[in-house]
Amino acid sequence: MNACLFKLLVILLLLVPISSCTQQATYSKEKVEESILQLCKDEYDLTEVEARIIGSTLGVYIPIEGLVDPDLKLNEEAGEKIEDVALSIHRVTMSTDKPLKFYTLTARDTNAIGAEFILTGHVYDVVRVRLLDISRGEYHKRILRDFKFNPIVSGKDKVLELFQLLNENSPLIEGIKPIFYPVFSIGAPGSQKIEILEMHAKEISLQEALFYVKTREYYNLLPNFEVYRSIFPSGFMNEYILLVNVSMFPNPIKEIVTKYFYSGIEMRQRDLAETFEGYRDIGYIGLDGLPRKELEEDWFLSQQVARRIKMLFEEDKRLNKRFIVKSSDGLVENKIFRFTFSIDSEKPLEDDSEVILSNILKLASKIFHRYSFEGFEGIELTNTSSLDGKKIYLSKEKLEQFRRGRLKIKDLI
Amino acid sequence: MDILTLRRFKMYLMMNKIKIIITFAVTTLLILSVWGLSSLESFYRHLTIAQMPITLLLSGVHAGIFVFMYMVFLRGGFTRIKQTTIKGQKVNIHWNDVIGIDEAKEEAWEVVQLIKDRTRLLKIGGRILRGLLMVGPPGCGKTYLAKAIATEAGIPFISMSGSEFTEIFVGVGASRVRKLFKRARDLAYGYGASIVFIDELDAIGRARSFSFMGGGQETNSTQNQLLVEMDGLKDKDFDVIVIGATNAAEGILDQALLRPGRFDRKIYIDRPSLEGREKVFEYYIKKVKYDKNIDLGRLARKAVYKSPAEIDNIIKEAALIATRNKRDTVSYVDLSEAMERIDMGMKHKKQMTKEERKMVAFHEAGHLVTTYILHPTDDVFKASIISRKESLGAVYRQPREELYTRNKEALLADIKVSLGGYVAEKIHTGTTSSGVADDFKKAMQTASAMVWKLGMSDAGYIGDYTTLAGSAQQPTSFLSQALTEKLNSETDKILKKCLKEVEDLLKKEWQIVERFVKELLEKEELEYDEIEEIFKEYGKTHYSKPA
Repeated sequence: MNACLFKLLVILLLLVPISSCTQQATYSKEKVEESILQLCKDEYDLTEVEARIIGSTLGVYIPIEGLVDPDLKLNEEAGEKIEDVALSIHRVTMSTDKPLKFYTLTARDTNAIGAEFILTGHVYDVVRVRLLDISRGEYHKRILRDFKFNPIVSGKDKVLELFQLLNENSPLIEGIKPIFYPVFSIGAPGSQKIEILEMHAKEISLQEALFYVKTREYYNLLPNFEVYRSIFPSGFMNEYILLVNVSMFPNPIKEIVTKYFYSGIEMRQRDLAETFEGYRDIGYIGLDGLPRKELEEDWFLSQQVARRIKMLFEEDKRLNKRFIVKSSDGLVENKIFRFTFSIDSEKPLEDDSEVILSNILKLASKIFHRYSFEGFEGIELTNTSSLDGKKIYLSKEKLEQFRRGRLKIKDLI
Repeated sequence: MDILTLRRFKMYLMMNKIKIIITFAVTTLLILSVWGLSSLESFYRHLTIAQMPITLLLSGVHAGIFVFMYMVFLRGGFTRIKQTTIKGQKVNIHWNDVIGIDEAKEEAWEVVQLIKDRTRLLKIGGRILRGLLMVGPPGCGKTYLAKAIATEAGIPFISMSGSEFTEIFVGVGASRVRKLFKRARDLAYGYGASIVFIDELDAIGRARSFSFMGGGQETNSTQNQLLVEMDGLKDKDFDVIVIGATNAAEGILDQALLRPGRFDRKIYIDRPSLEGREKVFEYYIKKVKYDKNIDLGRLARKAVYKSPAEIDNIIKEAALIATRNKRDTVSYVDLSEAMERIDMGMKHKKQMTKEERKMVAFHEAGHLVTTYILHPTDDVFKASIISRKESLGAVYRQPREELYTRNKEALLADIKVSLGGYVAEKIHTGTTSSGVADDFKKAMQTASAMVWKLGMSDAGYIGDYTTLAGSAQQPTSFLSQALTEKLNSETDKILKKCLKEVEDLLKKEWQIVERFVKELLEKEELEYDEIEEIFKEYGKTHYSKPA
C-alpha cells in the first residue's frame, strides 16, 4: 500500500512538468498586438494604446495627457502608465512564439507641445534580466531612453492648422496664400478646398522637421484661366514640403515648397517625393508614434554605445573629474560603427586621448561581445574636441584583440 | 466484508493516518501546482519548470538540515525508536528451525498453543498469557525461539532491543514504550493478537535504583512505563504478548517485572547438550557444501559449551578457510581450524631464539604430560608453540563432557597442570622463565579458593572465609591474623604438595616430555590424534581414578 502511494506521488510529480511543457505559448504569434492591447485594457485600464509589428520590431504607442509637468519633467502618473505598458510589452514578448527582437514604446503628450518619451529595448535583454543573467543596473543601461520635444509632433499640428486656415479662407494667412500655387492663383476666392491625402515627416534636427504632404485640391476656376482646366482639373493631386522649426513659435513653419511653380515664363514642377527622400531622418518613430521601419541590431548597438559613452564619462568618478563630455553620437555606415563625440579635458594632460579612446574602446568591445555581435567590420572613433589624437579606426579583429588585452591603446594611436 | 477485514481496514487507517494525511496534502498541493503552473505565462512556466530540479534539491537539503537539527537538538539524536513490525507468517522462522534447545521448545510450544487457543481460553474464563521471559546465555536461540513462536501463532511480531529505549533525556524511553505498546495494540486489534519482543530486557528491566541525585531516573521511568503497559493490557479485549529475552541472571531484573501478570512464564534457554550440539551442527552444516565423512558427533564433543550461534560461526569460518585453501567442500580439518581460530585467536609467529623456543616447548610439554596423565576430567586436544594473542605457546584442554561442578581432585589437577610448565622448565635448565606468571596466578587462585571458600584443605577449615576478610565494601576484616596466616599456610601446602607430585611425575616420565619437545620443535603443533599416538607409544593412557 505504501509502495502504491509512493508510485502515485512519483507519477503526480512527473505530471507537473509534463502537463506544463505540453502547453503552447501564452500569446500566439498571430495575436501579439491584440494581446498587448488586451493586457493594457484589462490590467491597467489603458484603452488608447496602439501596437504594430514591423518585421521583428514591436512598436507600441500611447498618447498621454500631461506627459510633462510645467517644470518640463516627466509627470509621475504618466511615468506609471509608461511602466504599465512596458510591463505588458515585456510579458507578451517573453511569452510569445513570435520571434521578436526589439520593441519601442512611445508616449506622447496630447497637449500639442511635442513632448515625447521613447523606450527602445532588446527583447533578449528583457529575458536575461528576468533570468538574473544581467543585473537590473546593466539592463537599464541597455535601454534607449529618449525624452524630448519632437519637432514632428508639434510641427504636425501646425501644418494641419495651416491647411485648415487655408480651407477656411482665413484672412490670417492672406499673405502666404499665393505660395499655394496654383489653386490660390487661378481659383475663385473662397472656392478652394485642400484635402490632405498623405503626410510624412522627418526629424532633421532637434528643432526642425520636414513634412511632405500630398493633397487633393478643389476649386472653381476664375474667368480667363480656362486654359488651366485641363492641366489642373478640380480635384487634382498636389504635393508640398514644409519645413518646421519649433524654436520659431508662434509661426514655426519656416518654408513651404510646392510641387508646381510659375517661373515667370512657364509653369514648372518639382519632384518633391525624391527631395523628401533625400533628407536624413534622425528619428525612427513616425507621426503615428510607431516605428517607421524594422530596427536593426547594429543601429541599436550604435545608439546604445553612443549613449553609454556619455554615461561613462559622466558617472565614472575618475573620468568625470578629468573630462567633460559635450556630445556623443553613433551611426553605422557600410558595416562600420562611427562614433562621434566631443570630450574635452578639464586640465589637459598628455595621456588624455589615450584614456578617452581606451575607455570607449573597452566599452564598445564589451557591449559587442556581450551581445555576441559579429555583423560589423570595424569601429571608428572621432573626438571633435580640441584634443590631439582625435580619430582612430579598428577592425573587428583588432577590437577583439584589444578586448582580450593583446593590444594596448599605445599600439593603436 | 467480514468484521476482521473491516477491523484491519480501520487499523490501517489508524496506523497510517499521518501518511494518509501527508499523501492527501501532497497530492492536493501537486494538483494545485499543476493548476498554478498552467495559469502562468509560458515564460514564467518554463522558468519555474527549469528551476524545479534545483528547487527540489534545495528543498531536500533544507529539509535534511531541519530534520538533522530537530533530531539532534530536540529528539536526542537519530536513535529514535525503530520498531520492526513483521506479520507472523512473514517472520518465516519455523518450529523445526529451532534446534538444540528441546526443553525450551517444549515450554514455548505451550505458549504457542495458548495463543492459538486464546478464544477458547477466554471463553472458559482463563487468563491469557501476558509475558514470557527467556533467560539464557547469548547466542542460544532466544530471538530465534521468539520468532518461531510468532510464526507458529501467525500473529504480528514487533521486535525491539532494550537499549533502544534508553536515552539521555528523561521521559523519552517511557514515551517509546507507550508508542511501542500502542502500535502493538493496534496490530492486535487488526490481527487478534500481537507479540512484542524486547531483546536485552536487562537494559530497561534492571532492579530500579533510587538515588537522591536523580541518577537512573530515565531507566526507572522507562521500566515504570513498561510495568504499566504490561499491567494495563489486562483491561483490553485484544492480546499483546510480551516476550523478553536476557542473558542477565534473573536476580538482576526488577521483581515487579517478574511477578505473575507480567512476565509470568519463564523459559531457561541454556547452551545445547552434546546431543543438541550434534543437531545444531547437522542443521548449520547443511547450509554449506561439506565432506559427508565428517563425524558430527566428534565435532559436537569437541565443541563443549558452544552455543548455536558459535557453532554457526564455526561453520561459516570453516567455509572461509576452505575457500581460502581452494577446496570446494568443508572438511573436518577446516572445522577444527575454525574452532581453534575462534577459541584461540589467529596465529602470529614471533621471532624467538632457538633457546627460547626450546624453553617454550619444554613448558608446554610439561603442561601436556601433566594434563594427560593427572587430570581426571579434561582432555588435551592440541599443543602448540605458535604464539597466539599474548601467549607464546599453549596446551588446549577441555572437559570430555559438560560438567557443571568441579570436585577437589579436578581442582588439584588444575593446579598441577598449571605447575607442569614451571616444573618442566626447572628440570630441563635448572632455571625458570617469566612464562609461568599466568600459570602461577591460576594455581594460586585455585588453591586459595579451595582453602578460603570451598573447605578443601587438609586442615579441615570449612566455610567461606572471604566473606569475613576485608574488602573494598567491607574495610574491616573479621579474621584474626593467626587464622589468616593458617589459611594462607594451607594454600601454600596445597601448592607445594601439587608441585612435588608434578616433579615426581615429570622426572619419571621425562622421556615422554623430551619426545613431545622434539615433536613440538619439529611440527610446532600437535593435534589430538598425534598426542594420543605418542602416549600410546609409551604405553600411557588417560588418568584413571585410583581404585
